[in-house]
Amino acid sequence: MKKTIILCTGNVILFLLFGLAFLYPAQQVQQLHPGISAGVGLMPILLLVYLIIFPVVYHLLAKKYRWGKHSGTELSALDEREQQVVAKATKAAYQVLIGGILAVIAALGGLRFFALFADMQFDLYRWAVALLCALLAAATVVYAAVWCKAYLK
Amino acid sequence: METLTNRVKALRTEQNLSQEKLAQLTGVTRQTIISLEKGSYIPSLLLAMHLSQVLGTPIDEIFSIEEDSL
Repeated sequence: MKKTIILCTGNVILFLLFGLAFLYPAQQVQQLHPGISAGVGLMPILLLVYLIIFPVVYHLLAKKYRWGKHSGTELSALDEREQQVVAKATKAAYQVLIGGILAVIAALGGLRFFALFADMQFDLYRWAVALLCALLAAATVVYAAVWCKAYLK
Repeated sequence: METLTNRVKALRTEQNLSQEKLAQLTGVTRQTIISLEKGSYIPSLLLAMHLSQVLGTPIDEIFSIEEDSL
């Protein structure tokens, strides 16, 4: 269970950092004539650091807790019950993702439509990145919750 | 409704086997043995046969079907 919780927590952080990195990719953007000048933002750097650190931390934990595929510990490929647990969690996450994507499309369409009528500025890119990353994080949380519930049953 | 009950816990303790050891001998995780003993998990025929082998008891003496009185 530790492995699933750590992996899912790691993925949630990754999705959030990924979203923030694409929402705030640059800092000190200046309009020049011609072109623009900008520095790399803090979020892409944080994402890069995280992409280096997390696999190392995970590898160390895997060694400590012996998370091998055939070690007989959790997520063992040999364990038939865990295969059922994974299938259940995957199905739940898939349902959240499919339903969520439809909801995101509807929300983006609705917001754009509303912005047109209300004569407001609507940044489709920012909303799309934020909603999709939030959806990925939500699906991962659902996966972890269903996995843990089924595992402990 | 019918439910599947088992004597895994009784047979395991009779043979002084820990859950961990039984899990190791049958190629599953300890959590699977816990769920099995609680009756919340119905094993595959393959696992049932492994349990039968390890516990030295025929499958039909380990597992039985009970009728719920509903």
